[in-house]
Amino acid sequence: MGEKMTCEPSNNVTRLLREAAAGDSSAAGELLPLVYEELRGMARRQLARGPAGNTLQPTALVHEAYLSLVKGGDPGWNGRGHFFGAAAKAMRHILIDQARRKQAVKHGAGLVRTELDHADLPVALNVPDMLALDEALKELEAADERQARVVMLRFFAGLTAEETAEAMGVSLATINRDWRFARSFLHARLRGFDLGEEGAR
Amino acid sequence: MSAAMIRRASEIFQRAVELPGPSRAAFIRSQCGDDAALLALVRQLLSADAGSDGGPLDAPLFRGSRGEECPTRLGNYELVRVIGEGGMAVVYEARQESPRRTVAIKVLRAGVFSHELLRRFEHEAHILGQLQHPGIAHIYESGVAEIADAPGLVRRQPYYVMELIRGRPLNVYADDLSLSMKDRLELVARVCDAVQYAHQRGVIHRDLKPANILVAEPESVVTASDTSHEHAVPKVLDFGVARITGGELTTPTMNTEAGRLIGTLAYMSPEQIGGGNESADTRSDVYSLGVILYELLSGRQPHDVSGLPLHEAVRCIQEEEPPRLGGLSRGLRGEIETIVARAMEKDRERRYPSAMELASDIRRFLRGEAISAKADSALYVLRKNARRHRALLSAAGGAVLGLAVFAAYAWQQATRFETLSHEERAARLAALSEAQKAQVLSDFLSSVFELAAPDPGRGHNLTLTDMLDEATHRLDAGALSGHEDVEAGVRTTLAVTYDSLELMEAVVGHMKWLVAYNARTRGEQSEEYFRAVKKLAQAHSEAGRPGVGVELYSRALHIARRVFGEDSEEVTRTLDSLANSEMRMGRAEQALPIALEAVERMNRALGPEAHPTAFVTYNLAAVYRALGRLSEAEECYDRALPVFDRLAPGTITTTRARWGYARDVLRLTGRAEQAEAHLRDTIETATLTLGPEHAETIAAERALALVLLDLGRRDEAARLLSDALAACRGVRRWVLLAEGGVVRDYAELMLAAGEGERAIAQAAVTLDRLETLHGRLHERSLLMMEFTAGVLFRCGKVEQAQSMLADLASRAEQVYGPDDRRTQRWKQGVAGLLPR
Repeated sequence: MGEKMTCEPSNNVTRLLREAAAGDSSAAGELLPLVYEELRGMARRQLARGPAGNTLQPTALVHEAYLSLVKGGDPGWNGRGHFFGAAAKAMRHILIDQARRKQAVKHGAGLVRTELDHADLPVALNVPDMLALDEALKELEAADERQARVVMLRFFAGLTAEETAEAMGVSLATINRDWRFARSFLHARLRGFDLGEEGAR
Repeated sequence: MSAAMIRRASEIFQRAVELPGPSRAAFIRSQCGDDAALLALVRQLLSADAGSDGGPLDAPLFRGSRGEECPTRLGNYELVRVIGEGGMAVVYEARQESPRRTVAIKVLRAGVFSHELLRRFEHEAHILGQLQHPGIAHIYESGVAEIADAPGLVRRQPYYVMELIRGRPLNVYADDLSLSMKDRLELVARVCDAVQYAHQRGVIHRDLKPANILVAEPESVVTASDTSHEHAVPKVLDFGVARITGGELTTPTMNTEAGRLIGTLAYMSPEQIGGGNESADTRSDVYSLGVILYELLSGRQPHDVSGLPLHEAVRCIQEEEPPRLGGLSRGLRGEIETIVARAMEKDRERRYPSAMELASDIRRFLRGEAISAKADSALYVLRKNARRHRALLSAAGGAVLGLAVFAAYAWQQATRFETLSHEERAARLAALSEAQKAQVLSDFLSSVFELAAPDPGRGHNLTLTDMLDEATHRLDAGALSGHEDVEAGVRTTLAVTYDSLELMEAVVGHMKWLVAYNARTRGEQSEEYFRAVKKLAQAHSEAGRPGVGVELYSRALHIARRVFGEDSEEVTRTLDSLANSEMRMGRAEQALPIALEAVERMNRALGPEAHPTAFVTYNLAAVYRALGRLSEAEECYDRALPVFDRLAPGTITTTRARWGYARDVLRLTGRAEQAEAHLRDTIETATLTLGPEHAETIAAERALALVLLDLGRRDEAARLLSDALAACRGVRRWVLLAEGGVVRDYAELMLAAGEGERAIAQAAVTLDRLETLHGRLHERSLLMMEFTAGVLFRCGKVEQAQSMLADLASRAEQVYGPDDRRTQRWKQGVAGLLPR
């Protein structure tokens, strides 16, 4: 996996994660663009390759990005927490961006470039849902930041409950409680829109 | 919507979901007052909570799982729709071109990190594909789809293609068709047939439950014209899958998905709960079949664990006797209740030894013939009740999982018992009811396990032994003083756990306490005291003091004769243990008459075909072998091995006996080729049932290496050992028991081949791993260090060996004190390495 990649960026990220874990907030700030670029780059590379159906899930993308960026060593749970926090933000950004672009096309709002850079990631949510989710998430962020972070890590970074608990340094019980409420809240807010087909169950 | 309103709604929501349904409405109204908007929001939230499973947020961004975004192809299959989805896998209905048929494809959601899992999947899926039985959903094909996502990025997605069964779960089917008791029994007997078929091929299901047994709807059965349930075909799904996914996927999810776990727990045998999937054998499946039968006949599960906290559910299944069937319904009295009780015995030695025998008894009952199972004697029932508080002890070999379960639950507890002052604690303990004591135990363990919880202020690399040692330390310092029965429970758990890690000195410490405790509370003529003395004897014996072991076993024997009677199984088993201790003393002559007596008694009590008889016979073989009486040893093996192979194929004991036979009989009597074939067969089965990195699988490989050396195939032996070493090191968990032995064999081989550097390098890696696992001061680390120093010395690196021994001596001084003979020996430097 990406073995030819130079050591430079990975060392960089590992260093930033360690600094961020040690409380250096500027390191955390520098992290986001690096992770963002890596995720977009990976998405671009995969979309350049295969037909739809063979694509990597966005959540798997995040894990792959982790493997390729942080191969310099284990940054510890706190460092991992910072990484996945940044990755979740980057992923949310990419997907919202993509949804806005699609919406713009639909509404005929000008020409949109169709270069590979702008090819779409295969997301399960439709455009209105994605935008509604973003709005609902902003509401939740204003009300309870921790609950919103749980959603970010679980939904956008694809972490399991255990991984989320570890990344945030809180107990599993807390994560499960937060998730239960946040999920219900977001679903309730999403129901105002056309949800389309429900999941199979 | 204002942030304040969301926060308020969150508070109300969190409390409301804890309430039972009917009382929620009133609670919400009382909380919301006349704030209509808030009331509407909370109602919306609760309805979303109840109905949102499978909604957009539940399968995070996973496009493959729903609707239009569903991938359309996988290899040669056209995916039609999703028919099931769980945390572990997605199941699709799919069409195959040639042969033209509709199939089910289960795609595992493998984590990105688990290459080990993929390897195991490929190996096992191949075996599962060979199961062909009308009662087992056939696996047509399996594989790992390699999907290139981007240059250098390959995603590997394991999948099975299997027979698509349109049917209803066993219990639903039986209830929908209002089947009679006779029909229900016949259905279960057919399930037993399928399970037996798989067992004979070395495949254990490990997760039998009604949801995994579908009864095909009549129209999809081959002869569609016959709609009678007499021809209903129950099909067992997911054979062996629990093992493939279980190793690395189920354990981590245990914490969060306690609810789901509890659903599965109800069908799990006590030994599986205590020791995890690895300790399951064919009899664990028999237990699950018993539970299924119980439920089908009575309409309820034997242990009602729904709604219980995890540790309570575990305790309930391990300790509580379920209500007798006959007590639930008069129609279920008599032989049928004996059959079910026998299948569900907590002690697997007492269960039906195979699914076939369970099926035979069911069919005998249906034909009105006498069944083979016997109702428990009154004495046994008495003893069984007395056993309740020792359930963890009986789950020997795997309390680690038990501890993990406790810990998982304990983490969720808000109470911080440890933060109370001593007086507060004592007062609280005194006020506790029997039922609350388990809680105290949880709290105590929670205080210990908090050390391992993510905490920014602390290092994250605490080992299991650190935690156990910490718990021991706190107990010794009186953390639970004033509540001895709880302490006894904790110490029992710790002793079992240390035992499974083969850290016998620590076992001795706890067992001494328990012996004294039981003498005080139960008296010296009690079953509890007897068990504790016996366990202490074993611990001393295995800690290298077999003399003490012999003495204590003799005492235990004396008690067993008085408490259980001269002809009891306890007396026989204690004789067997006593003989083992004599063997450890190197006194095979003394051991022989005792071992002979044990075999003779077992034969008399249970007959030659019983597992316990085979077990003591196998022990007798070791005595003969030590006396050099190989033909008698072989006779013993000839009697024991077929019984093992039939009743418990691929289990730990069977594997051990099989490699012992090859190494000690076949090899020593000049039949090396035969030994090789026998060992290869043993290794193949053990790899399947125990796993490639299990200590006994590895031990069989060591025996094979020895045989290969005899045959002059040195390179093959070296390769085998180096592969075995790699298997040990592939395991990232605490299981390192096998590695020490392999690395010793390997290093010896390398030394003999003049490749000292390799020997040194491998010994150093294992030393490092042991130190990481157990700490630098641990006995196992120290012994490995001594070995490494010896290797250095034998390679001529005298100075390095000297300085390592100096370090070793100073560590030993800390641990054992300056006067200990080990400290003394290592202080002598390389001189102490000479044969002693």
